[in-house]
Amino acid sequence: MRTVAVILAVLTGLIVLLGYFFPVLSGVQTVVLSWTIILAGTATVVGVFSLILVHFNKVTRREKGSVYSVLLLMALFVTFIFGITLGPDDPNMQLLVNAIIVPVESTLMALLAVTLLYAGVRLLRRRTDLMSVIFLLTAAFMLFASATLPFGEISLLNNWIRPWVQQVLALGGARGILIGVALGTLTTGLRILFGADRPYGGK
Amino acid sequence: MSPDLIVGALAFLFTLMIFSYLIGDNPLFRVAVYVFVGVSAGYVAAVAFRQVLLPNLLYPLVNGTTTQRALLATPLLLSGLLLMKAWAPLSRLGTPSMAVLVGVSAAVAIGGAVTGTLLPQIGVTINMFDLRTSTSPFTALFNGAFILAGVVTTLVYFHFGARTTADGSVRRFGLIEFIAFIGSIFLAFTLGVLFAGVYSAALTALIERLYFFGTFFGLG
Amino acid sequence: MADTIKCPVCGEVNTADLEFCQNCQSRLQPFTGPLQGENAPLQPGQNPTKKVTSELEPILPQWLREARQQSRQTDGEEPRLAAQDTPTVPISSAPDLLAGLASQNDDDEDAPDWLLNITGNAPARKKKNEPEDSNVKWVEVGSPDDFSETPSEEIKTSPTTPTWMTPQESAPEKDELAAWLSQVEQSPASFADEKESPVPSVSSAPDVSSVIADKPDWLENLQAGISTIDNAPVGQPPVSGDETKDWLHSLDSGMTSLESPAQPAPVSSDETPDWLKNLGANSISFEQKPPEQPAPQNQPEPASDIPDWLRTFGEPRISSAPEGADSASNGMMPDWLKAAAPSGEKPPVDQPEPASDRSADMPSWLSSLKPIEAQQPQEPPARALTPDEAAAQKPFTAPAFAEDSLSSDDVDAIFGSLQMPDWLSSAAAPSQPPLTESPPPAAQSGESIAPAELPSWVQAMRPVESAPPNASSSELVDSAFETDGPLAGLQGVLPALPGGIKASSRPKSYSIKLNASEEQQAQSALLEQILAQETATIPMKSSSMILSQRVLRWVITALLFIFVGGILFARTEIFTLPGRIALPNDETEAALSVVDTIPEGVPVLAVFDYEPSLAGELEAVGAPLFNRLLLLKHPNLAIVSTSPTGPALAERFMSTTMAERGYQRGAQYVDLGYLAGGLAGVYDFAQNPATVLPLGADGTPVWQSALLQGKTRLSDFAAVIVLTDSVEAGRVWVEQAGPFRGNASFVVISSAQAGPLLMPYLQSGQINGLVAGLNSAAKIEQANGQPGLARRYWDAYSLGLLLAVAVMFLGGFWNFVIGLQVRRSQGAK
Repeated sequence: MRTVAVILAVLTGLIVLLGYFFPVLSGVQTVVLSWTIILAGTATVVGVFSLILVHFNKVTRREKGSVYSVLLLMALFVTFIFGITLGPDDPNMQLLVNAIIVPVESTLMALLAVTLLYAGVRLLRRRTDLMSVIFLLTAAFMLFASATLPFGEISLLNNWIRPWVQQVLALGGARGILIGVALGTLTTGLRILFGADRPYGGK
Repeated sequence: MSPDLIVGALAFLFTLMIFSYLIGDNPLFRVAVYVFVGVSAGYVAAVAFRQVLLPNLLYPLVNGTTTQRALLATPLLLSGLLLMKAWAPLSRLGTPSMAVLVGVSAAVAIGGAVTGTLLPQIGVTINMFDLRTSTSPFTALFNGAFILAGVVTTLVYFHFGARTTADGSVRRFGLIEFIAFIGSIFLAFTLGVLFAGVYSAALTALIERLYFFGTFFGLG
Repeated sequence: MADTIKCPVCGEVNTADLEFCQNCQSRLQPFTGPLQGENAPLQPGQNPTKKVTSELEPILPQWLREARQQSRQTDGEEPRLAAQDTPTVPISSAPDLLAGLASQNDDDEDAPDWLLNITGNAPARKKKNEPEDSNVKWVEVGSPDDFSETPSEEIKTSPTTPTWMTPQESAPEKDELAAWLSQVEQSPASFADEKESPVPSVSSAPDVSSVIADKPDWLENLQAGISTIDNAPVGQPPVSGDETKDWLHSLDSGMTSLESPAQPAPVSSDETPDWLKNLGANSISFEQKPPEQPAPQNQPEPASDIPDWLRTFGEPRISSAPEGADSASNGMMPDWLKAAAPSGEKPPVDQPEPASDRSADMPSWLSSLKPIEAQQPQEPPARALTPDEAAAQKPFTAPAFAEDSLSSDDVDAIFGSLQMPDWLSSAAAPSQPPLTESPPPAAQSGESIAPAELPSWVQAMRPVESAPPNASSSELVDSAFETDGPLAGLQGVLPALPGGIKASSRPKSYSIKLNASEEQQAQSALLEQILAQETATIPMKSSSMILSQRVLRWVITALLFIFVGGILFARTEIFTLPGRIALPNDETEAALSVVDTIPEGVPVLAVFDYEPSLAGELEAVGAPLFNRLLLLKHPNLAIVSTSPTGPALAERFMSTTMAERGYQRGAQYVDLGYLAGGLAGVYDFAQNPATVLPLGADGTPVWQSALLQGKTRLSDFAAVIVLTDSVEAGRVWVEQAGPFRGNASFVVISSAQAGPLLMPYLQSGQINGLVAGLNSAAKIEQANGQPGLARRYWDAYSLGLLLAVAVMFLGGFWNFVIGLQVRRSQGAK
């Protein structure tokens, strides 16, 4: 099974990769990519099944907090049944999204504002070095420069220094991060295609 | 009671329950989170089934041509194997399907990283010093030097090759260490900007929630 | 080197007088001494050399010495030896057997009860008898005629009792021993030394050469394995060996009587040594024992103490058989060794065997223990073999009486009835079939000496350490086959050289004192400290510290809620919107210019790739640009999302935020739905949008609709607008869809958190416009001239940012001071 998995990973990966450079392989590449889309959709369903199993086990074992798992399962099955029968694009499903999903996630993101501010306050207590100071000063400056004042904005600050910091001073680091990420992606992808890394379970 | 009112009431209720976490962890917060996870998972599963599997796999298998069916035999088999991942005793059978997913994604990521990030970003870093396209050569050189310094020093900062010194400590080469120090400063600028952006986004989300409160109670 | 001995097991150097290693308790002194040179083991066909065995006396076990002590108390009548031929015995086997006796002397208290019985002491307790190993194969070396030479008078006294068990037979042997022991008493000093040193080394044995002539021959045989005394006379006059034979017969009688304890032993106490009487007391008589010749009496010559069967080694040509039988024809090799010769013809089993032939084979006591392969009744009178009979003599067959009566079960019964120690019983193989039922193959076929096993009682006499044997050690010994010497082919023979014993079965003693260097002790102390730190209870944060942190969080929350919420609910417009920047590289201006250049009524692909968590921000950030686009260009929108909740968020955006524009699904925009597969899906969609997502979210073929008629590729769209909240999603669209967008403009509407990392793509031209965060949205709203969510949020947003800056500065400075104090206090400590 492991050998088959490695062969499949390398073979399909090479087909798709070569399709970038050889248009002859674009047809096969498209077929493989369509398979991948189907598999990704199946993987989503598998993930939901796994979630169901985990919480179902918690309920059957009567573990601590199993009441919450019951709520989760009930919400999941109701939503899934309605989603299957009505369709996700149904207006009633839209109401469900607006009533639960968006408010909860947005509120969780709103809590992040408090947490980030709290972390920024306590940063210098934990760590006092040049990088921390520069980090905090830059953040404070960007926050201040992104806002306007009641009496108007500070043109030099808002229209010149802030864009320069964002597009020049911070751009170098951002580009370095992006290039680093790309290099890491390249290395990891090649290791997978060479069979050195097998994150799919082929060990 | 109109649907909008029900939706608004539920949204208000769940928002309040989540905000209760500011006081501390409490059952209301847990109820809201668990229900949210359940609804999200059910919704995602329904979307995946209705908008992915049904139009791309099941419909063509039923209504498609012979060629379509033949082409879909492989993803059908792989999908069946992938479903075994949900059951631990047979989870190994899903490995080939995962291998296809990972292999294709790795290949696509390689192509995108090379053609979409590496070459364009390296090219634009070099082209910053092309004075022919710049209206202000001094500014272009100045900005270009800053950006180049930021790119190089940041990349050096993430170079963790080191050697063991005489006293047993592990240190990078002296020049590398100095360049990495410069890179850390550039990174501090970048991360400071990112922190400000994240806080701005969170603050906007907070404002949006508060604005919802206002509109729900007729204040907004 | 002469004073020290290096332990072959552990290498420890010990003094030469030590028998066991001080370190590992392995035996240093060999049981049989070095067998080299003249003392080398006899090879088949080699004549033994006369040895003086008097020096073996000190290594005799205690029970034997006590028996000898008792024998001194008996009358000194000289034993009468039967003037018959003495069978030859492989001398090399004697050291092995007697070595076992010597080893038992090491630990008398460990002696089995049957040995204690011999010494006259009653056994302390009776142990459960275990089946004895019935593989008495080693007695195959005996001749079936060996015991047929027993005196025929025995028949008269008891038909079932052999004549050699009569007092007339055993008396000479007892007398001989008594005489020999009386000679030993003449050297009390040496005896005292023996007492002091139970197991003295051979070199330190007292000189008892004065009684060399009186010692029994079976002790002389021990000399073959001990090299201390050399140059013994090789040839001995052909004197009958009845001395030895008789006492061996007594042993046989004792062994036989073990089978029938109710039958009294026929050996009189005044004619048999005590230790033999004890043996006989526990014996049982053989059934169907053949009559034996009465032993001739009065053979007192010291030189004649050597039995004939031993003399045959020295004088092989001198046959003790009455008719001179076949000694010459057999040459130097005794008959029992000739069994190895392929020419040996197996005689009929039921053929009576003459006694004269037995003299050329082996002692009857050995032959009696031969596995019985033909237990037919033996012809009572012993007669000499004719040359033909001798030539045809079947080698390694048991004597007649043994064949008749002494089966392997009998042998087992002898020792089985006795109290056997555990280590001896464990050596037996209970599952082994009786010899009478399955005679050894070698005895049947008459072929060369086959691998054999020692009988259990012989195994009991093997040198065994005091420690109980384990399976491995027994296997180690028993698995070895003797390759040289008369015992060639036998299994389980003790090696003559100490090197043959791989390791002592005695458990090694280890010092309980810890030998640790200073470095190891230091490391141990360090480890203890580490463990102590790990196990030490960490003081929890004080409630005041936890409370202060909570208070700080509550203060921040209160400040945000009060100021941001207050100014939001107040619906103020105190803070001015940020002005547009007339710079060529401004991302917002670039986005505006892209929208402004889009032709009217063209299809535009809108990608909603953000999560519900940032829906509020993205709706506020994207609304100004979409308002401008929809208001000015009236594009046909195709909406797609790589997030499962993306289509719902897009519908929410279009139905609520953009409600003023009046866009309806199916009329002005289509929802292509959820695009699975991540970056692979994006790549596939960028190549073939109509193929990858042929149906819309509602299941309708959207690509055949009027909105997307004829649009099958990504480059057919006028612009691609990506709304994303993460760098990854924006980067995927830039990387995968960028090469396929053709002339389509690429605009990204992102959250403020993703803007800084998407900026490089804007600078590289991969993104034509970027709207990042509420600041950019406010600029677009200002450019639109129509206030929207950005304006509604702006005061609260600006106040929230300023509040954050203020809190960070004040709180940061306060915590910086606190942190310095803490670090200083920690440094002072």
